[in-house]
Amino acid sequence: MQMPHIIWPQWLPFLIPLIGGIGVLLFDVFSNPESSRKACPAGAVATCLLALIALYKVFADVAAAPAYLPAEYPVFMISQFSRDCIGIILLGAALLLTLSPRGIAGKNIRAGEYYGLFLLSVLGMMLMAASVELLTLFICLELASLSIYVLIGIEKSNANSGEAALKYFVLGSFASAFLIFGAAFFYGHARTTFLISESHQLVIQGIAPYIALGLILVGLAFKLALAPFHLYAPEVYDGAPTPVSALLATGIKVAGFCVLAQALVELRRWDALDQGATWALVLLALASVIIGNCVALVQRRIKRLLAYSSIAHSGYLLLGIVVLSDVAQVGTPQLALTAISVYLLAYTLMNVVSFGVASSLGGRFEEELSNYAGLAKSHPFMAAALTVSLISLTGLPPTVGFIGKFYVFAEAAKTSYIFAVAVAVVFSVLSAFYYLNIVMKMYMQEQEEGAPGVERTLACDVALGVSMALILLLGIAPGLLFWMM
Amino acid sequence: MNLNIALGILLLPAASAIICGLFGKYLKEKTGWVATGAMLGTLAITAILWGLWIVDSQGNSGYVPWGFEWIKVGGFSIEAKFWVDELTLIMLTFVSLVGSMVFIYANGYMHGDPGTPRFFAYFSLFATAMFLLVLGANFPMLFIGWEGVGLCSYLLIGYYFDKDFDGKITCADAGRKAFITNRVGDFGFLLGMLFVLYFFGTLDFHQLFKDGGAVAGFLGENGTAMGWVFTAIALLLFIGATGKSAQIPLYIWLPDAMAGPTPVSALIHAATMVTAGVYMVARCNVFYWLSPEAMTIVAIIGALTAFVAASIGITQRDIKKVLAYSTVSQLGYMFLACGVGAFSVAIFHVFTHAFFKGCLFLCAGSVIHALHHEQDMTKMGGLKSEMPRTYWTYLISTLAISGIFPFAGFFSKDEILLNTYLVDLNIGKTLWLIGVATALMTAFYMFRSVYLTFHGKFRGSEEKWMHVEESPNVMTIPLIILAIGATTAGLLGLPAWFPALPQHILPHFLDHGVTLQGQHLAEQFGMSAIERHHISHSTELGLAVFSLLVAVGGWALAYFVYAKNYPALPEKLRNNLRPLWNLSWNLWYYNMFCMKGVCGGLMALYRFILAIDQHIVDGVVNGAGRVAQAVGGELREMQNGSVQAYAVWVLVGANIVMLFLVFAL
Repeated sequence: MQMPHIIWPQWLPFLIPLIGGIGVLLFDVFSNPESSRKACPAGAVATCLLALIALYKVFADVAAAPAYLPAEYPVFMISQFSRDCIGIILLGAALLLTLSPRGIAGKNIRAGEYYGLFLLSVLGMMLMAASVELLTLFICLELASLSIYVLIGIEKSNANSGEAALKYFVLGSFASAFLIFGAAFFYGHARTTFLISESHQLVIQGIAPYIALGLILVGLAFKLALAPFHLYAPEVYDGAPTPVSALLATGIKVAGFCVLAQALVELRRWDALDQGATWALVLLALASVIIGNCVALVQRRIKRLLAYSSIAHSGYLLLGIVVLSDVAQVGTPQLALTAISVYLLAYTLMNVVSFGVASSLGGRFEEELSNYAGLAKSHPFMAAALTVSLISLTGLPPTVGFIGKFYVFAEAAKTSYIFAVAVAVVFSVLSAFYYLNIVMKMYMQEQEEGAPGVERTLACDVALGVSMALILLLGIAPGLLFWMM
Repeated sequence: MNLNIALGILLLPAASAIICGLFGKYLKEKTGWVATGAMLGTLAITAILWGLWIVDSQGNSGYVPWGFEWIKVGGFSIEAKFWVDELTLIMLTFVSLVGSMVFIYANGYMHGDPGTPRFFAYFSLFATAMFLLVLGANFPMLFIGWEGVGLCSYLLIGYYFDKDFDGKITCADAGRKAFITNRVGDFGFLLGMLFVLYFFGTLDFHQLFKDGGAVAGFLGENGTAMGWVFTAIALLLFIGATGKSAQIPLYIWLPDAMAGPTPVSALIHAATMVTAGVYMVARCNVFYWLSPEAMTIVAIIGALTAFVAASIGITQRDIKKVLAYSTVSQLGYMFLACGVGAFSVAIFHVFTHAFFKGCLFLCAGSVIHALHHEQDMTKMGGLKSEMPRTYWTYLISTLAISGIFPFAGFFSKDEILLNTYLVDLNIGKTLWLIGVATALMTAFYMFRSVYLTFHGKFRGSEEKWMHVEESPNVMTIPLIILAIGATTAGLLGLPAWFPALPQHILPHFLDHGVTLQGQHLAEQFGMSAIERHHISHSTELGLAVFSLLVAVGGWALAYFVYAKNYPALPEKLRNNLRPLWNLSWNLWYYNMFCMKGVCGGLMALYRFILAIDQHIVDGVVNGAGRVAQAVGGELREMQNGSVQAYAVWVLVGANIVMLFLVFAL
């Protein structure tokens, strides 16, 4: 086989995290722990921001025609949608890395390992979002997952952390088996492993390709924490270091939704979808919305609550995806893709803030919800940030959460599955109960006597401040979204 | 340099609001100078805009280049865009000029008040919203400014939220009353906006009104058949204006708005915000020109408001309430002018009114300041000797508002009366008579306030008299500047009979750009618009002399009753004219009707709905919550910690997915 000819600048956005990740790992080996504690996070954040800039510089004009990489054997495709998804992953990662020094402080974690693995898993997510070939998709997914398995259990002295890592590993491998099995089926019948390709048409006949697609969907649905594949999420999020939980909730989901959306657009282009596929998606979406919201109501621990909330949000997002698979739809899917990417950005920002507040406060604030009583008095900034993100999660104006939900629901309401939107809206109203309950605790209840205060760090304030500002700014002036994207 | 500089007018007060709001704790009273500096900056930028306008040989209006798409849903989008034309420039001029004076004054007035930073933060925010209202290039931008000024007005009326206002209601109540009354008007305004969007497809003023714009296109398509659209839009927008500009039937909030600090009354409730309704009507003059019916209604409402408010002003004792009713009355004049098609004259009166009414309020503030928050005129008197600057500026402004030659109010008010006299309407002469009667009452109650406050003997306590002294320079210099404006602003609109000097500068300037747009359209498409007779200059002069005589008559009457024969004659008059006096003193019983009738009815409705809400809606909501919680409690059992169980659930899910995909249910 001929070695593919590589055009360097096109790989730059992916090379930067690769070099950065390995660089951080190596730096840690050759320097003392004190200096690597300071330098590693700075280097990691800079890596993500550089990659973000490179991404938008290199792929400035993919809106017209997507870029295929490498040219001879195009396993990656950068369309406008996947570029924006990768951008969202990088933005979220940069913010989470800024929050990380405080998040992992005092937990006996080696800086080099943590930041190196973090960057490598981000790289895995980026590549996964771009991949259009099943084996590449699998490898990239595993790159992201393997790094994350380690990150979850990186807090060696904490038994919960280890348990969470093991559970995620076992179940993750189980789900990956579905994915690879599906890929094999797909190849067996379609004679190609390319889901999307410039050069040839996808021919789908008979039952077997649908079995393949179903298996692949199950593999992805696990990573997206859609019900009923969500059961690992609350325990894993609760056990992992908080910034890692946030990465699990944001980055990997953005990548997963990107793959799912692009695949559906392609499949519909070849008329390879039927009602059944859409019904399966609608059902998963509704199950996630209902289970996520109802169980979140009875949670008492913050990270478990956020886990269920993220399950519910996966459900809302999947409704946007349903639009893409609805065979009755006509016209280009561009509006629906825009709606999904706006929601993904909103979702990433508000999860960064809500997990970020927990991780910045640390200790008991990563545990029981009751500890948030009276937070507005002791930490007004943190309380304000959390309030903004919770209002955004509820989907109220003037936040970007409202804009995202509005666009996705408006798109989904155009399909024949409008009843699903109605159910989602009802349950989204229900979500106000548990989101605003936290706000109520922070502002209207008194703090326990003798609870120690927490020191603020500049990095956390900056990351939370930036995210909060974006949530409000994009909520007030959503026109900026289109200007940016 | 281009029009982008106009953005500074928005950004400066916005920055000041943020600084005063966030750092007020450290800046304390220095916030006053931050806010004042920002306001003076906007004045400077306005001057630059004038410079640009004059230098630009075209003298054309245009969009501010910078702007962005604010909201986009499908094909509909709202843009954050700004627009500068003749009307904008005139509005910017007096808002920034009078605003600067009031801001400077407020530094003296608020001295020693612990809430000063909060005051200036709100005040700056108000300025931002007011400028947004004036600069906005489309209805949504105007509406944001419109609501913004309403919000700041609410916040500032309730500034002394822990105090009583006039024994009946608290300051916080007064704020709420203003806000809620305005909401009623806003409802009409919003509906009007939706109508515009529905029928014309755009909300941008320029796109709507320009030659060959959306309205012209609509007329070209439908001819005169769809005339009702214009009447509906004009009236709906006018409902909004009656709220913001305190006209019948929504004027009741303005007198209570006097609960705020006096600089607030001067700037917001006299000079600027309340004129927003007039501005909006002038901006949308096209809709009015195309609907003579709507214009007639506007004229009638304006004239009635002017008359009723003036009649109430005659008996009020609180100096600020007298001024508040006089504001309502003057706003009535402005709408009368709009109704007879003299939109540019309405804006001219807005312009002159800003100076003399701003000045009057600030003088009242100066008096109240000197008397330690005494507002009852029957407890004042003789302040002329102790507060000469305040007295003379108050007197000049009174001469101006009463319409005495050659002060500013004479020219603008006379122009309104003239246009009313000339209008080709059955009720034109009646409206004119109402206007003249209002002028008589205006002169009477304004000079009444002069004599009660500044002449005669002091009627308050000895102790208060000991402390009376002229206000500091920081307060009196703005008074003097505003008084100069009240004297000279009339030069911008000299009448046709006036010799030697250029005439009608400001009205012609506006007519050239904005306020005749509608008339041109009506002519072009052969629709009937309101017309005016023509008369000779000597007749015009005769009318002017007549209205001057009326004003002097009112002055003389006030002198006779309140200077010569005080307090015996007023007492006697009150007893002999009891029914009339009661009507005026009790605000024509309208307030009572609103409180008992409207609010009472609403309260009954509210109780009914509350009962439904508590028993049925709450039941459903709480029930839903309980069901969801119960479901959540059950579903939580899935989460039993066992990996094997989770794997089984994955298998179950996979099977369901496969079922759907393969058998395509």
